[in-house]
Amino acid sequence: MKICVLGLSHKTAPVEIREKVAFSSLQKLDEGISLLKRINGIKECVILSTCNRVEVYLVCNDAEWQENIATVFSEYHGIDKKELLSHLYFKEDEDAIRHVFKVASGLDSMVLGEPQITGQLKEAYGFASGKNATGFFINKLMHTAFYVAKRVRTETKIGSYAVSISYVAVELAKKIFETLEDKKAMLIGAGEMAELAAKHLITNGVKEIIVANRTFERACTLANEFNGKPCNFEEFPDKLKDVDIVISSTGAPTFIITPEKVKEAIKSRRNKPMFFIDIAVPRDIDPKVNDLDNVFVYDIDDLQNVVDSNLKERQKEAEKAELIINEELKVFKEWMGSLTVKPILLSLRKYFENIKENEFKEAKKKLSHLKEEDIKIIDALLNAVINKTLHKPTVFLKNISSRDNAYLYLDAIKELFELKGEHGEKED
Amino acid sequence: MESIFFYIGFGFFCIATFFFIIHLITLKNIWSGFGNYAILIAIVSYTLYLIFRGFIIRHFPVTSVHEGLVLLCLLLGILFLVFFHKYKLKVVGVFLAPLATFFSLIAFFVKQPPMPVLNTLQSFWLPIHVGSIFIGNALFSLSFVFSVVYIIENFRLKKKKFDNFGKQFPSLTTLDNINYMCIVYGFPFMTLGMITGAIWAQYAVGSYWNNDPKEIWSLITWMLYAAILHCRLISGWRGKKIAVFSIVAFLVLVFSFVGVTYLFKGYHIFRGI
Repeated sequence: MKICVLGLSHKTAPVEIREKVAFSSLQKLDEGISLLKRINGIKECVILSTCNRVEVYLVCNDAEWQENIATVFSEYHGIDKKELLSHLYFKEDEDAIRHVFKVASGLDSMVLGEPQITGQLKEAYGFASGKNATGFFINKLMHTAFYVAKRVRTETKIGSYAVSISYVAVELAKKIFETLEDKKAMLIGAGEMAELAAKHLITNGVKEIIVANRTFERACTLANEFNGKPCNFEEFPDKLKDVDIVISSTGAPTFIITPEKVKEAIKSRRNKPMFFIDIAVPRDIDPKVNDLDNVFVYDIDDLQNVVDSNLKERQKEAEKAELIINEELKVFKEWMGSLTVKPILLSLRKYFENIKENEFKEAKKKLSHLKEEDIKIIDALLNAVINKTLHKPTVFLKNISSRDNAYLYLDAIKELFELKGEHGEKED
Repeated sequence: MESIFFYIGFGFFCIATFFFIIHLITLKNIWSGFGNYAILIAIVSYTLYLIFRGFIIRHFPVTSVHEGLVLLCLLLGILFLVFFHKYKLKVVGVFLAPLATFFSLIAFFVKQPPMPVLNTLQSFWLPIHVGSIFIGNALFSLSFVFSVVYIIENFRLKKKKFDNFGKQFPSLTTLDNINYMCIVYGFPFMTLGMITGAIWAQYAVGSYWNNDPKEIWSLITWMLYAAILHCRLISGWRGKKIAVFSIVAFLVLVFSFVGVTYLFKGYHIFRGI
């Protein structure tokens, strides 16, 4: 009985493969789980399928599991098995558990430390357990993984550094304005990144957005999309004074926003601060604008620099997260180890011996009139009682130890006698 | 005997400073929480200290620079509590605690036993005059603190330098607004203090204006703060200019408060009271 991981991710497979192998709908996920359950030796399984990874977490006792799953998946997805195998990774036991912990806490994600993956894993686990595909080990594994993810999130600062251009722009805006609730923004030109930044501003509270574009129709469509107002391209300098945040990304060959224009705007808005985000290459905003008081200009490189330095910080935090993972991995392995027959028997015996020792110590005080030989006889008697008592359970446990569901009995005994899997009781 | 309360308060301001520096480095809220309690203890000690001194001289105990500074630190501590709990601005402590420690240090060096108030100056105007002046001073100290933070933050945003250090600093807009608020609330207290001073002088010395160095420097300070309010309200100044202006005004204030007492002679040098 071991915990295994099979999967492919952005690190091992290009997007063409990932999208072929993805279980992109609940129905496919359902089919995938049924397929896995039919494979010989697989006791429990969870399928995690996101745009960056497809992974299967399973508990099995069959040595051929890698081969079997690869065959089933290649047939199901209609993809050449050799090709599939070249992208897959397989992990067992400690490596597998470590991998699950890392995935759950976002350490294996494309954007290091991103938090969505924990939720996605929770959904995947919920779905699998809804289909009765999970059991004793996977339940424990998943719950531990979520606990690890939570520890990583609260004990390290991995999530507190913005690592996308648009998010960095929003953070900077908050550093200047405190809140974006009553702020107005202007979008000059268009482009994927500029629109994304505008969207981020809106979700963070920006109420009004003015869209200026060389083609007025385009301005109208964008304005519609953002619930904003379109504006003729020629008119935008006059509107500068009304807005707090400007996102510029035009194809203009020269600076379209000059210090003179901004000076005028800032004067008529009585020095209320302005934030310019220049996403265009070549730049739209004269860098000298940044020298004006109460005006802040960030171009694409500045934002990227912030992103890079934040990524470095996340890297540092990831190292701390690894320590947490190692800690929890150790605890988990101890738990796994405690579920084999030998340590349980040892701790069970120790449990009885402790009782005997304690009770006998008390009794000996009252039996001071006895001779040493008599005490020895009583001691031997008590040991014999323990041995006889434990004989049948010991034989039973040894017999079932090769069975698949042995852990159920072992776990029950642990619970019954409140045995703890401590270091000393582990198998050598 | 009552000195013990001064030393306890002084000690706890030092400890609070230490906690807030750790808070700044580790960004763990537990340290600012400790700092909060340290300042609370410091406030209680200083209050007891002033009460004891008041009992000894049977008057409002602001008869020396030493006592004035203690009162100032006490007010700074109270302002800190307001900002800490009402506005959740933990970072205020990072600057306020060292400032209070610094003023306490000066108070330590100029410490002197309580002195009775001269009969001629004994009047109910004394607590009103001195009290409002010091509330104004405390608010202006705070304005100074926020201005310094503003300058630092402004520099970092302009030069695009980021690190953990400033993560918990308030935004520029917040800093600018609080600075303005401090001056707006501090200015009437200072004005009140100066007017009551003039009235008191009229009664005690016979003339409301005596060309005393302290009077002159206070008037300069008052005019500087009036100018700041004017620039903000009429000319719409904001941000860096106001911050620099506030820092300059505060330095002049410190000079008129401490410097004048030791550099010039005059009836306003506390010891004469």
